[in-house]
Amino acid sequence: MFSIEDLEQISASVCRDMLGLNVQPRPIESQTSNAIVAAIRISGDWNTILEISTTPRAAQLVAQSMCGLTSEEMSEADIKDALGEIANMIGGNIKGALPGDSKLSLPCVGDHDQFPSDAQTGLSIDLSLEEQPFRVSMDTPAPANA
Amino acid sequence: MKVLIVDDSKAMRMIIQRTLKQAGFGQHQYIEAENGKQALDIVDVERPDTILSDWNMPEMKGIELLRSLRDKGNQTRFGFITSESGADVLQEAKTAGAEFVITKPFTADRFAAELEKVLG
Repeated sequence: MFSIEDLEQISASVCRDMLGLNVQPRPIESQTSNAIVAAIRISGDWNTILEISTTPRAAQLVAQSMCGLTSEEMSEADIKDALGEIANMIGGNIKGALPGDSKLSLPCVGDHDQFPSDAQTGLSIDLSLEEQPFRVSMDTPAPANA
Repeated sequence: MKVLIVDDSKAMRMIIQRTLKQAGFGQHQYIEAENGKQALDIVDVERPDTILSDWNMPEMKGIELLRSLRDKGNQTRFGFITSESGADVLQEAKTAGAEFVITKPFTADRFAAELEKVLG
C-alpha cells in the first residue's frame, strides 16, 4: 500500500523538482508553535487527511519560488495560496497512488492553532527545506468500509 | 496564439506561465481565469486558441468547464494541468474532449515535450 518512502518521494519531488528548493531529510523534532499549516482531505474509497506544517519563513520561500516575486511584493494571501497548492500537489499524487475512486478536497491553510492536532497517527516525514523545518504528515489511508 | 490559463491558485497561474516561457512558448499571449465560471465569460470575449485548466476549483471545476464549452459547440483546444493523477481522471478528461492531461509537479522539459504539438 502507501509507504513512508512514497510520501517522502512525492513531497521531495514537488519541492525540489518543481520549485528548485533544496530538500533534505531532517531529524524529527517538535513543531514550532508559530507554524503555518496546509491541509487537504482525500475521501471516497480511501480516506485520509494530509497536513503540511512549516515555518512562516519556509512558506515565504515556497511562495517566492512559485510566484517569482520578492518578499516585499508578496502578500500573506499569496503565501497561503502557494502553501495550499503544495498540499494540493502532494495530496493529488497520493490520491493517484491509492486504488479505487477517491476525491480530493480544496486545500485549507491557517495558523497551527487553527488545526485540531498534529498528533502523528500515521505517516510523517520531517524535511529540511532550505534549512527550514518542513513536516508532511497524514493519517494512514483507510478504506471507506473499514 | 492566445492561451487561457485557468487555476484558482494565483501562485500556480504564475508558475505555469513562467514554466511555459522557460519551455520555449514565450511568444504566446497568456490570459488568466480563477475558475471555470470566470473562464466561460473570458472565452466568450477573448476567444483563446488554447485553454490550460486545473481540475479542482471552486465555483466550477475544470471538467465542468470543458463539458460546458463542448455543449455550446465550442471546440477550443483544451488540456488539463492538474494534481489529479488517477486513471479515472485521465479517462474522464479524454472522454470529455481534453487533448492532454499534465500532472503537477511539472518541469519546463515536460511542458516542452507534451505541449509542442499544441503550442509549438
